[in-house]
Amino acid sequence: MKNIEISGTSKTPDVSFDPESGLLEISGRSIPENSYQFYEPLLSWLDKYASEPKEFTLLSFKLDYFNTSSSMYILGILKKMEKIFLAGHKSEVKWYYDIDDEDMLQTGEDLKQIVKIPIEMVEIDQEQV
Amino acid sequence: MLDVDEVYNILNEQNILLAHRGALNGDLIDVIVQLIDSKLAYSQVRVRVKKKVVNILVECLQNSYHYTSKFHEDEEMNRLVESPFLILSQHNDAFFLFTGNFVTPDRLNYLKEKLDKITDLSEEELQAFYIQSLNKDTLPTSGGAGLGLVDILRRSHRNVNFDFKQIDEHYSLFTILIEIK
Repeated sequence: MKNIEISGTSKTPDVSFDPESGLLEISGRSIPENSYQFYEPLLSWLDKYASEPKEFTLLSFKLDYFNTSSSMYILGILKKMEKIFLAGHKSEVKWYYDIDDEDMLQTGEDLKQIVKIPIEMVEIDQEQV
Repeated sequence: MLDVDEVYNILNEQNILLAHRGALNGDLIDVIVQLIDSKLAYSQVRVRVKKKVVNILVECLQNSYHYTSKFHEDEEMNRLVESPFLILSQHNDAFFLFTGNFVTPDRLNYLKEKLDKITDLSEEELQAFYIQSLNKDTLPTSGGAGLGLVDILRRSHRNVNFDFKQIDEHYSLFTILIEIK
């Protein structure tokens, strides 16, 4: 299975999905007009990965901005992760948010309510970076 | 004749960061968002406010774009395609985003019905509605998720004024005024 490495643009995030290490990361901004085009390949990849996941899978979201159409796909990705988790494979999601970004925190909390996989909220302080 | 003093005074007194009117496309939205992002990065705006302004701006522009771009090929609909507008201004700690576009009678009814369901909701109810709408079984294959207006209400803590004004028998002007602080 191939890994996915996508460099971010002003509208789409960096993506790094590595099937060898089980480390998956989406970071940057996700505000495309058409989220389907961008996220569909990621969902298909996860379907394949879910049939043969690593012992431990860690998915990290480090988003600056996202639009509402992306949020539905982010949930779609989390539902794929949930399947891996419910099948008994060790897996975890980390949701990074800026200490001052109440909306990013709120969205993380919302997503936590919808899916059963554990989501850890990780606070970052950009001013200290 | 254009009165330079008058124009400058309007821009100055209203603290206008950006004003735009005309057809929208993906590249233009990109430029507008980058411009505002960069302007806010240079000012002393708090991260939470900056993020809200940019996110709400994106939602508004993409809402307008998804609706009006359906008519891009139709010359008779040119007035609607060219109608989107946006004014972003700043007053002390608050930002005001005034935006809108022409809508057909069908769209007017659709929006009124949609807004009836969400404008009177409390923050908690809005939150529950958002989660319920997000958690659908089918993902949108084109365009928006239909969640934009709900998101604007949430992020602005319901400081939004939606309005419709009849232009003629073909169109109404749908406007959204949002205070972000």
